[in-house]
Amino acid sequence: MSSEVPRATMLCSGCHQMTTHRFIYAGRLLTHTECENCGHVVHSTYQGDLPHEYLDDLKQRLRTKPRRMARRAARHPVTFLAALPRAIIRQPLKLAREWRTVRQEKRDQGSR
Amino acid sequence: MTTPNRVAVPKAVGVVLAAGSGTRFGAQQSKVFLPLAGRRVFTWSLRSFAQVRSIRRLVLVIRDLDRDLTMQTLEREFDDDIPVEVITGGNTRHESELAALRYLAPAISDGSINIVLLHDGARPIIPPSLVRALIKNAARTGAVIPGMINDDIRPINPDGTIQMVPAARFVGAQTPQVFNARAILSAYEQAARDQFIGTDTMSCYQHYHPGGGEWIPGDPRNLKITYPDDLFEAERILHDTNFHIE
Repeated sequence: MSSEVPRATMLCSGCHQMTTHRFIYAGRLLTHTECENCGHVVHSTYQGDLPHEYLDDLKQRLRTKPRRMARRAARHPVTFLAALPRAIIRQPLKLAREWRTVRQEKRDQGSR
Repeated sequence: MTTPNRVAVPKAVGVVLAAGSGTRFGAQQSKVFLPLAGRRVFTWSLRSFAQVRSIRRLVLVIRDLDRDLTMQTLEREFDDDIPVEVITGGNTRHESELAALRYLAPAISDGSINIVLLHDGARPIIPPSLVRALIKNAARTGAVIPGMINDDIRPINPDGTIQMVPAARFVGAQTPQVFNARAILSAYEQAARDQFIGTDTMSCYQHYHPGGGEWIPGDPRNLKITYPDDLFEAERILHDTNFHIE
C-alpha cells in the first residue's frame, strides 16, 4: 500500500461533523486518527503495548510474504520481476518508517 | 406487484456498494478504500461473499474516479477463484443499486441469478454464516435483512425533544439486504419510473411489495465504518479472530 497518509471524510466523534480525517498507520496497524477540523485525535485501543503489537504483526506479515509474492509472480511474472528490485530497495526504508511511527506513538503516549 | 416465488436452488450474486456519496476532493479517498488490517475496507466483504458456495457472481460498484485504485487493490488483495465484476455506480446509493440491478438484468431474466445481496462496502465484517442464513431465508420469503434489536433508540420531535416510546421495539438494519432477484429488479425499475427513492433497499422493495420483507438477527461485529473509532473496533475484531471471520 502507499506510504502516503490516507485522508477520508468521516463523522468526527469530537466535533460531530462530517470532516476530513488523517489516518496514521504503522504497517497494518492503525495507530491514530486526526480530525482536520477540530484536531480531535483517536488513538488505538492497544496503545499500551503498541511496539509489541507491531512486532507481532510484522512477524505475521513476514510469515505470509513468500506466499503472497509467489501468488503475484504466478499471476503476472513480468510485472512482478520488473517491480522486484525497487520493492527490495524500498523495504528497509518502509520498515524504518513504520518503526519510527511506533516509537513516536509511544513517546506521545508517555506525554499524555 | 405479485409476491415473489420461492427459490428452490439459490443462485446468488453478491453486490458490494463502494461508490459512496460523500464529497471527495484533493488527496481524499472514500472510507471504503482505507487500509484495515492489511487490506482495504471493501475487500473484506468481497472475501466473505467468496466463501459462500451459492454466491455465483460478485459485483463491485464504484465511482469511475476510483477505478484505477480499485483494480490495483483487487489485484493485490483478492485471490479467490470467483472474479469480481467492477461497474460504475451513481451519485446516490439508490442509483448505484439500480445500476447494479440493470447490469445484472440479463442474468436475472434468464434465471442464472435468482437471489441478489446488496451490501454496504463500509461494513467490512460479515460472517459467511450470516450470509448463508440470509440467502436461505430470502429464497423462502423473497426479502430479508439482518438486524440488531435496539431498544435504546428514541424518536426526536420537531422541537428537538425526545419522545419516550416504552413499548416500541426497533431493529438496527444492517446489510447485506437480500432479495428475490426478479422482485427487487422490478421494484427498482418501477421506482425509477415513479421517481421513488426509499430510505434503504428494503424500503424500496416494500413500497412495491407491501407486507413483504423479514429480518433475522444480524451480527454485532457487522459494524458500519462511520466514526474513525469504528475502524479501530473493526481492526480489533479482525485481530481477535486471527483475520478469519466465520
